[in-house]
Amino acid sequence: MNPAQLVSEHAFGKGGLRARMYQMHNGLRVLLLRDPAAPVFAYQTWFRVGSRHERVGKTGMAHLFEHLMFNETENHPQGEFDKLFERAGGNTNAATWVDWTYYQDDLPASELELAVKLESERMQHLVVKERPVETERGVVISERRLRVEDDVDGFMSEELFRLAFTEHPYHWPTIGWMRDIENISVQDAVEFYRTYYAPNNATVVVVGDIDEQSTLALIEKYYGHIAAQQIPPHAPIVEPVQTGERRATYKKPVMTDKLLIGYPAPGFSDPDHLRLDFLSDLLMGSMSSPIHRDLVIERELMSGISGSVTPFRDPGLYEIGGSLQRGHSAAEALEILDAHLERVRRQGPDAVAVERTRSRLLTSFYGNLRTANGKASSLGEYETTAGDYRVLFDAPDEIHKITARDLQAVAERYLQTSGRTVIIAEPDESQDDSDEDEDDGQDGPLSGVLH
Amino acid sequence: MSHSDPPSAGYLLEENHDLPLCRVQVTMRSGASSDISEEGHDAERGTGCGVIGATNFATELMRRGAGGMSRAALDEAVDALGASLQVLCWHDQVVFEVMALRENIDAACGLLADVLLRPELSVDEGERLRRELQASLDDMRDDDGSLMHRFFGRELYGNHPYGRPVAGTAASMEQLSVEQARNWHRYHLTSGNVLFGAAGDLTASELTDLLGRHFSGIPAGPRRDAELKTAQAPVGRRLVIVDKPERTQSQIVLGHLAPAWRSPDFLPLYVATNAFGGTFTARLMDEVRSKRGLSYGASARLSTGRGARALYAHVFPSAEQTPETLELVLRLYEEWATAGLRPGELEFSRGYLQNSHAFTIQTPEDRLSLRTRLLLCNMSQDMVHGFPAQVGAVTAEDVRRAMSANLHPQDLLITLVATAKTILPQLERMPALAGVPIEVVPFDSY
Repeated sequence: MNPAQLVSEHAFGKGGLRARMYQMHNGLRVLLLRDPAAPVFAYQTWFRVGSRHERVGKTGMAHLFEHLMFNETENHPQGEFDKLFERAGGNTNAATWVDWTYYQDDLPASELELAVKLESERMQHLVVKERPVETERGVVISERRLRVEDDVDGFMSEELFRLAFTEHPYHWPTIGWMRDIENISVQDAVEFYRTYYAPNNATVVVVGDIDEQSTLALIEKYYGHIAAQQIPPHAPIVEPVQTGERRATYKKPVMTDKLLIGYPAPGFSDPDHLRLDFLSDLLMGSMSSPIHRDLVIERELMSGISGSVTPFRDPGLYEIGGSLQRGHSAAEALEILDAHLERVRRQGPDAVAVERTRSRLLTSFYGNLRTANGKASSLGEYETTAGDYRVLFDAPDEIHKITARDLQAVAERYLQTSGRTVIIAEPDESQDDSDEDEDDGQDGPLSGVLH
Repeated sequence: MSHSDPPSAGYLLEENHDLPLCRVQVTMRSGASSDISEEGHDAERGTGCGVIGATNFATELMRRGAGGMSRAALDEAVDALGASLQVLCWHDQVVFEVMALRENIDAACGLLADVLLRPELSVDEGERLRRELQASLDDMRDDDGSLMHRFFGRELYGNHPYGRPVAGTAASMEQLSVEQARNWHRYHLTSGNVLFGAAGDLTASELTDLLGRHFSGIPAGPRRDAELKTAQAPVGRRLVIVDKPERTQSQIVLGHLAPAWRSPDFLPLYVATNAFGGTFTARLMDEVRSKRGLSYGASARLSTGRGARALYAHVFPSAEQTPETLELVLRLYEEWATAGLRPGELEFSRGYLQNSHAFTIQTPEDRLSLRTRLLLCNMSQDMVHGFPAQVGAVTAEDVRRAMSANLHPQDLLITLVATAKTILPQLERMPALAGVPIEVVPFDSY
């Protein structure tokens, strides 16, 4: 068997830590960072498959499959996987989003072989049967009700992407439309597993109190014989440029209006992504940010407002959302917000505010890297979404370089009214007649008007 | 750099020099549970209390202008350092905290000291804060999980301080005043009532110097954390539906009062509760989610705090599967409470808690937080590193005795956030709820 090859390395922080990327002959990438700060480690497996790889009528497949991965394997009966981890004092979890699915194990330092053995086992020997598919379908439906049907913010987010994207798979929610979740079959699951769960479609990230060489040897021992698979190519899908504002309003059991706006945003590895993120933080990321100060503190129109840029591989959305205070409407807030954004497009941001934001973002950057899990998640996300974990380490330097002119340019480029989508939820004053159809939102708004 | 004597209270420090990040905390022993004293003479004694939400109001107002700076100027000063300055109010304590890069921590501590020692407490900001609190209450009502805990707490603890929401109620918010906040600050900010702590890229001598220069002006005075009595435990089973329109699932919590964290019964009961619903493979999750797919989550928790808090289970099935799930959880709870742990559960639970403790104390911030809470609850610091050994010493007999003394399946309080017109007829037909009084309350009534 050919040993794994060192592909790249990079210093991590100022304490002498060093991240190293290896690649095995079957295509598996292995990213290791020894950090002995605590006697624990984080073991994460990032698969380059998410809801964007699904097709119409089979939405929710990637997420439901993630649930199935905690079930029976050829060498471990149902329930044993979690039991073995918990007996060792560990925790396991997983997450699925548009571009990726990842599995995480947090364990005491003595249990490395357990993680390597069980993760390699379920990469190649998962048993997919009718009963677990039915059980997990029920669990996912419960999760969807929690996060979407009974959560107005989740509902609005789902509607935002449904309206903003017409061609790209970012149109559908990662959890899937309800009717698709109800129809996923065992055969669908088996096919999905055989297609995407392969060493050449994954990166294993291990961070913590480990010995690098013995970790690599264990990974070679347990993963080395797993054959690479042919991963189907996915042709790039370019979302047509939006040329007019899209807007929908819904009646919901809320106390006050809620507003959610999505502007087109660059992909994660585009240099503009960090600039737009910077601008968002400058405008509404802290108490002294001009939009927060104006809308929340001075005018008392909103109880809160926040913005974030989707960390998606392809161009996504810059989302701005918040709740109105009683006696004020979403339309009022939108008008004032527009004036702020127009000012930034015309004049650019204030130089003092740029410096303040720079300091705040640097503090926040290091704050996210305190635990082994936090470090592994950041490394895994950058490697999988941006295509290179080393981009993470460039972030502080890039933050230092950003100028007011850069920020004005991204405002001009992305924050145009004609390209945005607006979702508004208003209090439903007629609750007695509020029963809604069992619609999954796939074909049109549950209620309200589409502009 | 000048050096001064550190405050007499001493400090907790958890060092880590890998990242250039520092956190400094000042924790006050007075939390929201001091809002209304058991005797009820707060206003006369000048404590600044007497209204639900008084502590949260006073401490949040301290953050809104200090050291001669308006709220806006203070916000800008914090931002200019790239720092965060937070005030976090709970029932048992209030934490004032700054986080900043090492190069800015001195200036950030200066701002923290302004907030603590030199707050403006202006009338205009007080009025604004009152309106913001009302708006936050509206936001909270959009979240069913928060609603569930709010109503469960009210019903479980009754008039005990733990039954009162930290931020207050719509009615109590109307009574909050700046004068009261000034009294609160005067009465509660004493050297005996604060604990200092830091985590991150600081050495002991650096921290001593920081605290001495910035916080030595805290007035001398005693602790202000009055002893908490145990709440009156509700007797019998009772069910409360928090009625909210258009719910497709029910947020269900059921439970009762439990021994306090420092009680000898706590640890054995904690081991038992962990076996019942503390992990993914625990009995509750296994039966509700893994075998039947009824709810995305199913857990049981034993709360910690200065006084006796709750033992509760939480599930969230669909509206149509609510009776089936509630029936199942009630049966599982009764089995657990009466028959005790199954073979292997004790050993498994102990092993999990012993081995997973490394994550509880993984970061300097984690260790600082645990050590601070132990001090607040008058408990030994031995638990920080000695917890695995303490759990290992728990015997089957300890667990049996603690379960027998503290589990009350006949006195369960059940709270659901659901749509009453859908759920109530189903619940009324449930044999397990025969004779159980059911009350329906509007979700926006508290």
